[in-house]
Amino acid sequence: MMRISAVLGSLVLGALVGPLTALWGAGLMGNRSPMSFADVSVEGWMSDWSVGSEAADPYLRARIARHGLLAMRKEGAVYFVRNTDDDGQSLTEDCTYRLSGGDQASYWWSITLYDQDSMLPMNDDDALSFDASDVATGGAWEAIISAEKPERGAWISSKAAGMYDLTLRLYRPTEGVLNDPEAHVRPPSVQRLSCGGEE
Amino acid sequence: MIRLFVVPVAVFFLAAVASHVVTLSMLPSTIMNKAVDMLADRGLPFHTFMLSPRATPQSQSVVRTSPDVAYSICLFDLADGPVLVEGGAWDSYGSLNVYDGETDNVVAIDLGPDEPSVTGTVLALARDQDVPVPEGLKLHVLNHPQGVALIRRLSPTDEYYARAEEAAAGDVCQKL
Repeated sequence: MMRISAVLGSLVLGALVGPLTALWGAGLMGNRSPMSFADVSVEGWMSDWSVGSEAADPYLRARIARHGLLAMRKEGAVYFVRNTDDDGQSLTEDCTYRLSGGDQASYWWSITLYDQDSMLPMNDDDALSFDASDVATGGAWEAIISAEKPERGAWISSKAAGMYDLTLRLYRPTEGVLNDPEAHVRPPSVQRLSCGGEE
Repeated sequence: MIRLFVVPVAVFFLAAVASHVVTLSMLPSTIMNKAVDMLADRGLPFHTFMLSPRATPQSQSVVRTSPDVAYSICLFDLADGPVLVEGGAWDSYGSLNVYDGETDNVVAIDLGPDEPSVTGTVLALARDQDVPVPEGLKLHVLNHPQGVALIRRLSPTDEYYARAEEAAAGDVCQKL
């Protein structure tokens, strides 16, 4: 009787441990950020390069299914995220930043601000992102990221964002980006200008 | 004494390995089923493209939605036969992607003025692959009946979105 109980107990325990280790192995345990699995980093902009790829590894397949659900193939778009400024400090609603860059190696691009829950911040400023259509003639560009609208220039509102991150989307990236992102992505700069009203 | 533990330990490892493998193999389809159920629960009908409202903080329903893209979504079910999906004419950046029941992006078609004239595809299960396919389109055989077709159109402004609305009126998702 005791032996049967031990076998049944082992069966139940094994049936519990198996799924948990599968979820853990696929990186699906806990609330992981998009940067948790980043394997490409370009001056602070990080990307999980497996998203948008075909994967044979069952662990990778499961992770992509969860974290890259309905994502485009890499030829359609690649995504980079950063949550720090150029000095490595966390991005926060309390500070003002200058976002600047140049032409991107893609057909079209955008940079969007998301709060810590990966949601658009709950404000009505209608200034959620900056994109290629905001750049009149190509070349160098810059925008201010702040909770209050600047006197002039392009603006991404961080009002009600708390601690946040930025997502750079490159739509139809060049072959160079697809083959060697570290060498071909032109990472925009995020320079902290002031915090808490200080100049 | 040691022999008493051999069988329970072996059973534990066998059960753990078997349930580990089964869980891992079922995760993609489970995730996709949940996504389809969630979209259906929100009132999204099958076999009709629905254009989502322009993403705002107030209208967002999924994480990391792009405020610069207009999304048209169609749920499909091939159990009752093949389905035709096509994107309406669009003169800017756009794409039509089909995701199967295991979340794989099985069809990716660029829409827009610079692209070839192919704007759609026919989806079918293997048993239905003798279906007549409209000229210029390809047949894609899927292994799972349910999935999602998603059209993205560049739409960074209200003006763009208004034009995307007009284009989306030409989107097709219907049983053949």
